[in-house]
Amino acid sequence: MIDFLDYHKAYGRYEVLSIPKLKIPNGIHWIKGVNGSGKSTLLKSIAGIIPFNGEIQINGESIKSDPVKSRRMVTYSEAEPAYPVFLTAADILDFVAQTRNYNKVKLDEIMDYFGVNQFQNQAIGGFSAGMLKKLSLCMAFCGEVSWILLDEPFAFIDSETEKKLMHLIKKKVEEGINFIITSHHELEQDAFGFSKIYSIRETQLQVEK
Amino acid sequence: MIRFLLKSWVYPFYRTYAGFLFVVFLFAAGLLKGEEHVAIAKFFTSDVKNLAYPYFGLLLYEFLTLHFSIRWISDQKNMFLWDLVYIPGRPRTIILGLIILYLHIPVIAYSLFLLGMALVSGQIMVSIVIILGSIFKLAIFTFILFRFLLFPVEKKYNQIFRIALPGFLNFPVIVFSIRHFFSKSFLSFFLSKTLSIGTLMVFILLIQTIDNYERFASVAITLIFISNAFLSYELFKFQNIDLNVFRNLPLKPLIILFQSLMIMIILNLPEILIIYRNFSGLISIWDLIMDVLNGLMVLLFLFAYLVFYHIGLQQYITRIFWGSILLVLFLLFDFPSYLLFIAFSSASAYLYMRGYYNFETVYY
Repeated sequence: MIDFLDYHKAYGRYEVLSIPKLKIPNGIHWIKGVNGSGKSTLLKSIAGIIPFNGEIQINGESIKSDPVKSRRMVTYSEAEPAYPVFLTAADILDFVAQTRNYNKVKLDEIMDYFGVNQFQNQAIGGFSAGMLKKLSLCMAFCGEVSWILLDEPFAFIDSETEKKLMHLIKKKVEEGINFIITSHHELEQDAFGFSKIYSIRETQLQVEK
Repeated sequence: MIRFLLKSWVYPFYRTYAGFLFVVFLFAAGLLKGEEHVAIAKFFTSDVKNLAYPYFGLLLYEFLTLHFSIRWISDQKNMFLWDLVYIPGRPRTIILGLIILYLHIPVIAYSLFLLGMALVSGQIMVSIVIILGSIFKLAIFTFILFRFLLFPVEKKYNQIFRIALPGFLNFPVIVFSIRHFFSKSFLSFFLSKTLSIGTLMVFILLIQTIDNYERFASVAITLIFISNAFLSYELFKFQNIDLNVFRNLPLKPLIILFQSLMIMIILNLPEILIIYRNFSGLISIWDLIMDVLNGLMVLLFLFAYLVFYHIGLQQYITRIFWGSILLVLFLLFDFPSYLLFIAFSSASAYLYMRGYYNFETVYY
């Protein structure tokens, strides 16, 4: 469960998000919102990689008072991933797997699943947007976490990878892993079986369904 | 893991500051002789109080590494580095400590040199201070880095930090340099160069907070070339070159121009690299050529001015300072740089034709 208490996020004087009180229960959740509504900001706040006012707790652990413990429960895939051009996918994924103490065999399986192993030793500078997205998704699925945050996961990827991703999400949900997915495009609600659907309107996160 | 962090964090630092490190290396290995290094180190290690001088200088470098690291891990491209917090406590501390060690290689090398000198001279207290000081600094920097990895800072604070830190770091250098700028010591020249690079960094950080900052890019370049013209002038003094010799050679104007041009280019190399890194795409080769020529003309103009008015050096410096401020104001209002170049070169040529370039005067 993710708890928000008096959460506020502003960039300069411009307030992006305000969540006085909200509990996101375990399950798979979809956050809708137009471009610039604050979806990515919300996910980055939960991932603990941007500062905010107020409190967010992941499974009872506060991001502010125990950042190490709370961050270990979350992985995050960016909407528009970018990495240093001189590194390779293998460099980054090996590093991430080591820091998260993730099994090498399992990492290879994920890389193979998304087809990242085909270009793992190429410099990232030559990657297309789709290849970058696949790398980012691999990173999100690398680790034994309870929450996976996917920011616009279906952007840039081909239809085959889209199907694979949907299948993997469903499999992980069955294993008890929770998801927050953001998308400004309509997603097939029945295919995912969303626990809840939220939308961000005028800085407020509202439960739609 | 360490190999990856070297590739993704440490090497980019050395690449980014290659120009600065090159200049430091040039001074350390080229301009200073072995016995001079030993004499300086003996002075530094003769008393615990004297250690403050090298430690202050080294601290500037260490802050530079910290400043770079915080900027580097805040960059969206390097967000994966935040994963370091997943590593359990002790191994994480060791890894971050090792990163700091790798970033501080020049500091460690010089500290070891000082330690060796202190031990040879039998300065036990100084040796202990060097060892404890180095360990303390390493621990502090590792702690700061870890805190930053845990708690991301607001962008506005980060901006202030980015601007304030180089400014803060350069403030003592500026004060010190102003005091020593016109003395004939090597140290004054070295500090003046640090001042030039530091000021450029502050300038770049400051203007990036302004909308449409691109228009100020040419001001940054011109400022730096003018300041380097002053430095070239200082270098002539420092090298004690008898410039009057040039007047007796058949190709004297060309030789003077060539040597001045070379000095200007070499002196400007680190700044050119910094500017290129920050404004690549905004600066054309023509801008750079124009500014090298401008700097060169300023240099020749300075010599002429000194002789023409038969004034004291202090008075001359004050006038040049206000002249430069005026020049910067002109440039801020988009005064075309080629007009300045024409003005400087015409004035310089006129003064040269009139035989006012008596370089002996620079010694007075």
